[in-house]
Amino acid sequence: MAVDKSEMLTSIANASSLTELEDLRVAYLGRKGSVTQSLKAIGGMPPSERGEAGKAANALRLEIEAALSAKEGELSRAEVESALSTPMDVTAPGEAPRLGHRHPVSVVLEELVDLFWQMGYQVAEGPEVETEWHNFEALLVGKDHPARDMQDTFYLEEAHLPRTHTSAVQIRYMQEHKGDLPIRIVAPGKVYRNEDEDARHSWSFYQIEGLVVDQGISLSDLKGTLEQMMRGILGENTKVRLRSNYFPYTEPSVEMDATCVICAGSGKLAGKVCHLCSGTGWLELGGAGMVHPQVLRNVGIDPEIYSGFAFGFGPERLAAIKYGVDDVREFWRPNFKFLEQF
Amino acid sequence: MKITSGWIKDALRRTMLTDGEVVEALERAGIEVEQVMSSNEIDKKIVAALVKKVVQHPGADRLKLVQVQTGEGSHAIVCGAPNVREGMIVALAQIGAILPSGDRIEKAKLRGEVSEGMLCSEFELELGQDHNGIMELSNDTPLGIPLSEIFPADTVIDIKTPANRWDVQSVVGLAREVAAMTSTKSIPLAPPPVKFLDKPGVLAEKLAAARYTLARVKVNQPTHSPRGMSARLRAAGVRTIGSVVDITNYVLMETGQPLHAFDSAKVTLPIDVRHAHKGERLVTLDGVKRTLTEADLIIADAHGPIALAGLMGGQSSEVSTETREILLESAVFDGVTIRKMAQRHGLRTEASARFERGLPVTLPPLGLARAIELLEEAAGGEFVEAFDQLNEWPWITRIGLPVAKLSKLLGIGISHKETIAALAKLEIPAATFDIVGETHKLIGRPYRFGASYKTDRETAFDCSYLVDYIYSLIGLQVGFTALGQYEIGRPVELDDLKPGDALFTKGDREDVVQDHYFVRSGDGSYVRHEVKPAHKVGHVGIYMGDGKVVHASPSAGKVAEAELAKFTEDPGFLGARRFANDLSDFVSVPEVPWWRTDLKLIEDLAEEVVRVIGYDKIPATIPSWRPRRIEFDHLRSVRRRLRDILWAAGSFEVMTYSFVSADQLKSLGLDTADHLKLKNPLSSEQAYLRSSLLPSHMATLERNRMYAKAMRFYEISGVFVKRGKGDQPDEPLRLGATVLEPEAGYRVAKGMLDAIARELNVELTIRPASDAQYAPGRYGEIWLAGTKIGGIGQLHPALVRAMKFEGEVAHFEVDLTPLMNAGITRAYVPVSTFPTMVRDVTMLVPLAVTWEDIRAATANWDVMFVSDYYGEELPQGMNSLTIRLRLTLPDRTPTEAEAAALEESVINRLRRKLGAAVRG
Repeated sequence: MAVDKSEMLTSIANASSLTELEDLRVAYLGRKGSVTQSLKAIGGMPPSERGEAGKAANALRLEIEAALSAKEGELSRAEVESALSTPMDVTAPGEAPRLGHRHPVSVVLEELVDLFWQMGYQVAEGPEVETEWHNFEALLVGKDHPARDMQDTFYLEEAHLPRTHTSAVQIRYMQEHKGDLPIRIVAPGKVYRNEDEDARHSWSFYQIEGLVVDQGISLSDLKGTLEQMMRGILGENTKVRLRSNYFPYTEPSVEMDATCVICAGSGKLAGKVCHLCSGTGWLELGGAGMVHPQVLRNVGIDPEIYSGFAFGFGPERLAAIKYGVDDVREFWRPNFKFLEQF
Repeated sequence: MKITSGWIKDALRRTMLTDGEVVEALERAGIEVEQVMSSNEIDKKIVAALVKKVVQHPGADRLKLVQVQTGEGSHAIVCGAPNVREGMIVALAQIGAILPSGDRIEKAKLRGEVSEGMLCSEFELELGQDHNGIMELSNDTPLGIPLSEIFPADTVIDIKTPANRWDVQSVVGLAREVAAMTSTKSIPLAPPPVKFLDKPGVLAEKLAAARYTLARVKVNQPTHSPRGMSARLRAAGVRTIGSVVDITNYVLMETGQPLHAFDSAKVTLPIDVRHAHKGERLVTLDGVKRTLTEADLIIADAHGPIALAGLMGGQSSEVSTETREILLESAVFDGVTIRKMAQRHGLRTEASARFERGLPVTLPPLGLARAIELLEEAAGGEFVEAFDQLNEWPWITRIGLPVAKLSKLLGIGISHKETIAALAKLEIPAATFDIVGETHKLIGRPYRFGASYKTDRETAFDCSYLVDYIYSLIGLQVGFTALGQYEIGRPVELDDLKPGDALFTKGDREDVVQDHYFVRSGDGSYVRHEVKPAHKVGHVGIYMGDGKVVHASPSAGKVAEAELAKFTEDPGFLGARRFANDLSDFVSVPEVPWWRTDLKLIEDLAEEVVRVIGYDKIPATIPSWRPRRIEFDHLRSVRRRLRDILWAAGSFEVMTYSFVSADQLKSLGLDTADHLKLKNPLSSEQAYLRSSLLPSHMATLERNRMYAKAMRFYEISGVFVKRGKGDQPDEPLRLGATVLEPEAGYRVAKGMLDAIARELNVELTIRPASDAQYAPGRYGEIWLAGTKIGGIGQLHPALVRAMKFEGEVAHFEVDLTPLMNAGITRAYVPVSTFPTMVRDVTMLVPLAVTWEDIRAATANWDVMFVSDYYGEELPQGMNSLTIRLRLTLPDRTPTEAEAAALEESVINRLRRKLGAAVRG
């Protein structure tokens, strides 16, 4: 079988694409290719001729292979160059995956849980519809206690009430774990107050409440815990200020302020009064106190041996501060134009 | 409560405090300062002027031409006020004056007449709410004096006081707090005390009041109150009416004691305080006719109700300008009763706000005396007589504060001296407890068997009362009888005896109780303790050290010192007892000031101490943590994982309210009877506790209708599932997700559910079912092993159309707790290195056969869903289903023959078991 080397080399040189080149490779070097065939044909030749013919055929094969490979390099370079010759805007938006949006309050809640986990706290939960005993009486808010007005309460028609605070969880947890002290928990959850809404109050909101009961727990432990906690939540340079306050279930009771996150406690922002703290430099963030000995007694813990502290604050307020939301009702509406920003 | 800084400063010895310092002191004391408003100084060009002449404006019916005279001259003013009259003294804004609103007074012509200024109303000067007419100044006001001198600028502080402190709802109480937080002292109110008469026929027997005092005071024609007084009242938001009523309000703000003045000519004695008879009527001062019930506490005279106790007086006995003599009431009513009455009548008054917190019975005579003093000063008052009925024992509270315990509680080392100094700042007398000194003071007091604090105070003692009294100085309840003290105390050996220990003998008396004793508990009730076996403990003394004992001796007839041996060598000697381990550690507060009704426990005093020394002085420590065991919270991590899955699925996380309306429930075909209902909802929109997230999610869709044509959102929240009547509901934690898509909404929702099942590695099965909210044939129950945990479906198109939505809405809701608990770690299946043989097969299957049926029938093989198709051209009752069979072998590439054999097996199985046919 005759093979025309120069024709083959011309065809290779003229190949315009990698596919075409591949077709040529098959035609020449494939199992049934002309070069392959000519190599095979050598076997049928008289032994005297084989040596010479074999050399020539192999040389041909090598030459064709080299030509193919050189051309392949050339063509693939050209193809890459051609592909890149189309202009592209690298700053144009990409093809985004369709992701959802996390709720800002749930983000803050989970961040808080993570912080408290790092501080050794366990998360406890309790029912949202509570008995009056767990929500009020055990916490020394009797039926006629004026403090019941502080927390305007919803009542259910038959019995019980949607809890007004997560403190009720403390009571349940202490009852269940009084034989298994010490206790160190946080209780996040929804609470309900029968009061009109405004930009800073919603009738349904989240609270997160902490409780520590052990031997020798002191007010300084509470102060240190609040300081560390607020540093964790609001940042390294946060300072905490405690002011006296009244809650029926703690004694002493304090109000917890932290340095304003916007003006760093200066009260001023670019020469103007800071809008977040109204120039005070402090943000009111929650309440705390030493657990009242009678509360411990009510759940069967001996206050002569054990003492404890509790604190509570509002994740919505933190979320509002963190994201600059000036109306907490936004968190509950649900308004997708609001939520899509998170 | 609003109060001016100047008023508080008047009650302080050092008045150089700035307003800022006053505010800061209040805040440090724990009184919440909500707002600080400075009342601006009134422009000096606004002065007092006398109305000389009033004539009708010739060109306008409603206007008058007024000639007013200041000190310097007279001015012509055009005035439209209905109350302008000759002889009244008014506030004249002269030309150039600037009103608080910022308006400048110019010379003007009104309907052709020149006006050289303006006569001002209270409202225009921001001195009060009255804008119906011009303000009238008292007729002794010097003409021409600037109003700014009559109403000096002052800072108004709006505060919120702690609910357990009645005393800081008064200027005196606030001043005490400021004094405690600064370096000054407060000035106590010391009006001349009122002498009470005991005269029958004035007060009825046993009034329903803890204390009721009543004074008869003659008054002159009540005129305007002194300027300072009315300015302060106005700043406090109290309407000024006339001098008598203003004085009662002033004293209320000043002392915290509400007062009421009756016109004595309109009252027929005796005065009674009682619960109303059902149906009795009273017209209160606000003109409201009220029908009373037995829950109403009233003041009545011989003819019937004349006031609602603690809330508001009645019109029939109202003080007027004609009043010549008043009956002034200063009393303590039950706080709870008043609070409930205030709620029921919708009458929250300054008085009720004070009664609600529970006033001490010591207060009324002080309030009464102060009011009489002011009436005499400012309203031509002349005291006639006064009466007092005290129906509740004025207990005093004693507390012993163990300083070691205080240090431990506060986490700061604090000395006796510091503790006592801090309490002294709050006018709480305290001293290191000296049991020997306290007991020695009583030597020589007479012996009286059965003596008690209520009957004898410190004048007479019996043996057990002496011990009880001494220990009460540090607030310890040691029992009222020798038997009780013997039982309560801790036994001590004689060689370990310390001063303060009690020594007991059988004593000589035979008539002592031997089988029980009482202990007073925290809430004031007495608890009886049985003694078994009964035995006699008849005498007790207190060891003083150095071999001496002090006891109330029946034989000596007085409190006397005796030798220790007299007790220990008595044949009836029973032993020694101890009530406190370290008496020298105690700081004794022998009498909590009467106004501090909130102080009862050691912890209460601890708070007072820390309030004075300052929370900034408390060190910050982190408590150590030695838990017995750690309870790990795995479910929370699973919950987070779920959130991640749903986030990755393009879903919004939402928070929606737990309360829904009856309409919301009904529109979904839900029965309100299955839902818990609020007794006092904010509105009918939020009257029921939801048992499913669906109603809230439908509302969410509607609220966001303009947002997009496709939406996905989810919520994780508890819902309320009603149980038996009166039981607390079940509160399963639910995941609810809603999808709106132009089409195939169900498929998207199902895909989200499948993704969750895959990620948590749980096997969920769907069982076709029906449910009212969902389209027929488009709903399935979600089952986890043998438990139904939720449902998934396409909302009924009628419902979607009624909400004016286009497209398909699908929703699924599952109980999360079982789902999260079921998640198991995925087991790895070794990966074959050989290729997989794939065959797609399209079959006709009966409509009743579900994918889950196919999956179950082919569970042994690797079979995937590819697509399904429903069309009229298909044989009746059948749909087309394409499945993909995959064959992978661990050790080699499957052969064509093996793939063909698999295909045949699957087809045969589906044909035989489910009636499927290969589509030709």
